[in-house]
Amino acid sequence: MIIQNISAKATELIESGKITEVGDSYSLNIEKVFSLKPDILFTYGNGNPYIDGDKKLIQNGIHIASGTFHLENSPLARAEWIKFLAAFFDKEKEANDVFNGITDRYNNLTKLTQNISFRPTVFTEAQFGGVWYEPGGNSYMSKLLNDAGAEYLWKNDESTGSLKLNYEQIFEKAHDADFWVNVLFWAKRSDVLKNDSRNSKFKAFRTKNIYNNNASLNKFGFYEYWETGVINCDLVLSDLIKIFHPELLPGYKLKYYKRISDD
Amino acid sequence: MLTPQRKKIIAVFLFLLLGLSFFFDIILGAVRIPLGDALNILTGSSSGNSVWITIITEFRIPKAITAILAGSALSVSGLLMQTFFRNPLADPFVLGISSGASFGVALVILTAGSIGINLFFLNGLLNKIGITIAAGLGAAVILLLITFVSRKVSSNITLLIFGLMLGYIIGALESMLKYFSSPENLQGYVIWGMGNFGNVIWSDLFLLIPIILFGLVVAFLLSKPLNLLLLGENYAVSMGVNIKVIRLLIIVAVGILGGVITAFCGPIAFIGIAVPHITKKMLNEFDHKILIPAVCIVGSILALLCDIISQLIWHEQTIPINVVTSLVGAPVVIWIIIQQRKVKHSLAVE
Repeated sequence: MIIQNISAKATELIESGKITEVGDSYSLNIEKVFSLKPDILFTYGNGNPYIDGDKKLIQNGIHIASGTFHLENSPLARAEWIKFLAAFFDKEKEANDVFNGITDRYNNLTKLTQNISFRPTVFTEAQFGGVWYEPGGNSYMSKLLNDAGAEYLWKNDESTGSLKLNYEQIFEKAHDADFWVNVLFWAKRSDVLKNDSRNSKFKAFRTKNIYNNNASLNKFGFYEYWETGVINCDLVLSDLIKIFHPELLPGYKLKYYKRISDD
Repeated sequence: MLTPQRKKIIAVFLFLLLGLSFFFDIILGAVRIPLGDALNILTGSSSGNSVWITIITEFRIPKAITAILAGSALSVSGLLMQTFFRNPLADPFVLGISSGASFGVALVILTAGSIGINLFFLNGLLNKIGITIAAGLGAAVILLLITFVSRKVSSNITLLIFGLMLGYIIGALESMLKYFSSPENLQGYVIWGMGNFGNVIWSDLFLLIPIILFGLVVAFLLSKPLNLLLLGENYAVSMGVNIKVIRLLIIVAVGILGGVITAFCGPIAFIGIAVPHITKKMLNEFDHKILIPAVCIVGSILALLCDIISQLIWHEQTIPINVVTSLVGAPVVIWIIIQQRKVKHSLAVE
């Protein structure tokens, strides 16, 4: 069983009024949530519903379940949170089937790259507000990149969160890297230069090996990667393998990723 | 008064310190480059590690030059404002000039694409020029407003509070703009808004250096009327100063210096207020012909030192420049408020 078209389904529900907006991740519209009288409110945070949720909602009988999938350090562990959601809907069996399918596909893909002789070097992200947030060596992103047969340049770092580095630290280590992925909102080469014209000094820029996860956007212009990429981590992995080792997946077409275009 | 002899010694000492801090700002950084290699790169005799050459020539030298330009520009605009408003607490950051510049930039960046005319500002150098003009205009508008209010209120502290409140109002309008803007535009704005010398590249410097030099020259040419203003506006008028023209020129100079630096580096806190006081205290000097070059040097040193501190690695991470300038500058402001009476006296205010 493969999870598909979540985005299209959600769009449909939004348009028919069955899904309604209750604020963004920073400011929940408490009165609106309360007036909707949900059976349960799912949030994310550090796992403590009293901090992740709103005390007034809890006191007034709104049940809050808070997830911490974003703190997991492996792509599969993130996807496994489907079981947590399923438990509230008595769909454990289906969730297990879905997750087992994801796991099998993911593990089969990693077999493709396990004994590969050449691992291209890769780095991620870009300078943001004078800081370059690079995923730590024990983060899920590091694992994903290594599972895809690349050599993530910070894989020996021991942290699970993001490293706050500055441009020259990144440049020293990554100027010669073969690939550069997950680059903010960039789609074109001019976006790369607009961020900082010194970005042209990276080898990945010269060899046109910059890829971003914005190949499929939903109707509202948001990245499908952030909607379904967590549960479809096997597809994300396929994309990355196709990028780093196209010969391993002949005929496969990228779903989430695309190459930064030549303007 | 200090003897000419001692002033010479202080001048030599300051130039030495400026040279040293410029040198160390280039030598020290997040990436450790051995002194010998760094020296070879600086003297152009290195054929070795090309990454280090790029780091020094493309990252650190433009950053150090920017720190000097920003330190000079902010300090001189602080000095001009302190004399002009006869208020020891005036500076571009405290009185909301930076906020005005920020707001100008926010309007350009955050509404990009949604208003036809902004398309003009979108790309490359045009983008930088657009941001520069917007910041300069934003700064000038707030400055005009503050000038207008300063005619109505007599107390320095009242004007300061007015400036702070104005800053909050502009900040709130900015948050509203942010709330309604697209993620892409917001990202562009957040990147700019953090305050950073490191985002300025060589091609920006070709634009930045002449503008800042122009602003500094205008400020220097105003030395004589500024000196007369210290003795009170009426006195200045009686000495033949055309107060309207001078006021306009001061607003232009502060708008250019404060606004343009804000456009390129984001808001930089407290350098503009702290440096004129440190300089006056050190030189015991009130002649703007000497003060203007002197605050340039002291401002450059302070900006370079703050940048060095912010670049030192604490557990593999750097700290934002504004954290450092605030830690250095805010105590100076507290000290001024405590010494208000004395400072008033020494500035011949009221």
